[in-house]
Amino acid sequence: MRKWRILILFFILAIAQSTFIQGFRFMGLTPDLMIICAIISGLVFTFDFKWLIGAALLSASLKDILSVNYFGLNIFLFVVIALAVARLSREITLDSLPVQMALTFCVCLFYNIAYIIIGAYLGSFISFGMVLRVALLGSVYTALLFPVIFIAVSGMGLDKAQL
Amino acid sequence: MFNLKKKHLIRYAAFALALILAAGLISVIKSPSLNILSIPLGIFTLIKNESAGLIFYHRNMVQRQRLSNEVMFLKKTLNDANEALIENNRLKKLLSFKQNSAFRVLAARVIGRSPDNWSQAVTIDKGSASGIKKGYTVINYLGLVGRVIEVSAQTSKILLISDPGLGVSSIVQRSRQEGLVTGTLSSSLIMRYLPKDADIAIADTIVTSGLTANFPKGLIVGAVIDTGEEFSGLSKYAIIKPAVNLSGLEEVLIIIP
Repeated sequence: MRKWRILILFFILAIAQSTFIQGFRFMGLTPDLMIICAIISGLVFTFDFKWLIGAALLSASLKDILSVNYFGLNIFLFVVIALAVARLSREITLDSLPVQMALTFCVCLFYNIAYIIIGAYLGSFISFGMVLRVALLGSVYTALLFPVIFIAVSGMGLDKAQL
Repeated sequence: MFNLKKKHLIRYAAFALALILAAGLISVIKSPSLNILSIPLGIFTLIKNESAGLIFYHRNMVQRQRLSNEVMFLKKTLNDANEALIENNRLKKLLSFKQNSAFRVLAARVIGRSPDNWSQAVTIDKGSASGIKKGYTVINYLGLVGRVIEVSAQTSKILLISDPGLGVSSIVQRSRQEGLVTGTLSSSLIMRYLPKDADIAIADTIVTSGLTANFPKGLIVGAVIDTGEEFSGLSKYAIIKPAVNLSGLEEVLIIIP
């Protein structure tokens, strides 16, 4: 039952991303709660492949539905992110918050770079200044918000040790 | 770390194929899912707006006072403008000018925004059931907002003018100088392809030229806040502050041609 709670939390976070989080814009950027969901899927369901994929797919499909980007792009990226985080979590300890924040920053940067490359391939042009602002500042902003969400997940009894 | 064995290859290939199928399914389920999601989105937006009203009570009170003073001033200005309009119409009739038919608009409420930082779009609570079609122009009382890019039965998605993917052919209202306005993913817009000797100055009003399909001529886009020369040195650009506060958009009007 606890595992279902995490999917409900992801759903609420997806709706909040489209509504509440827009009030926290800084330089036109918002933290990306959905990437945080993908990372949390990897961290929480490290040894539970089905739930790992299910949680990553839920956050990815919600993001794809609510945004206007290239079809199904997040399905690939989020599943890859969740699998990579789970794999990394098996190899090294990712328990401390600063390490998790650094991981979130790297994951966001990877996601943004992948997004730019796919966008460029599909003919969408974004200037270098915008790329730097969105990719770097957006990643920092998301990384800074990560502890809040992760602590909320742990507080609800949904972290790895409790599941 | 990632040790790929031959026997696992088929499993990986099947998994990748399943992902491709899932990605392809998104475009199929997008429209019905958005219809369902419009309910929680609407509830969350309502809660957000109500809580913002409580949190910013004092600011709203001061703003209300300022706005009621402004209303009184605007009433007088409107009266003067009406006088000029009546005179204009009378003179046009005298000159047998062709009258452009006024467009019909449909009001809608913003219920959600694009969750990523790479696009600037909003979701509204009206869709094809209300007569909205892809490509329709979206405005509000202050000026141009964007264009409808996705339509489901109950909701539609609007690409805002602050998105770099939307280009609108526009002119400087004073000098009639033409350029292309695109978004910058921030609170300002950029007008490009202006000749080096373009007659454009700070505080000039930018309006649509009518050359971009579906965008009627004369819609206010914004005002110039800065100008500069492109890196190549061949043309000029202008930074524009949009007439509409795109980050605080709550209601929009869709032009039904």
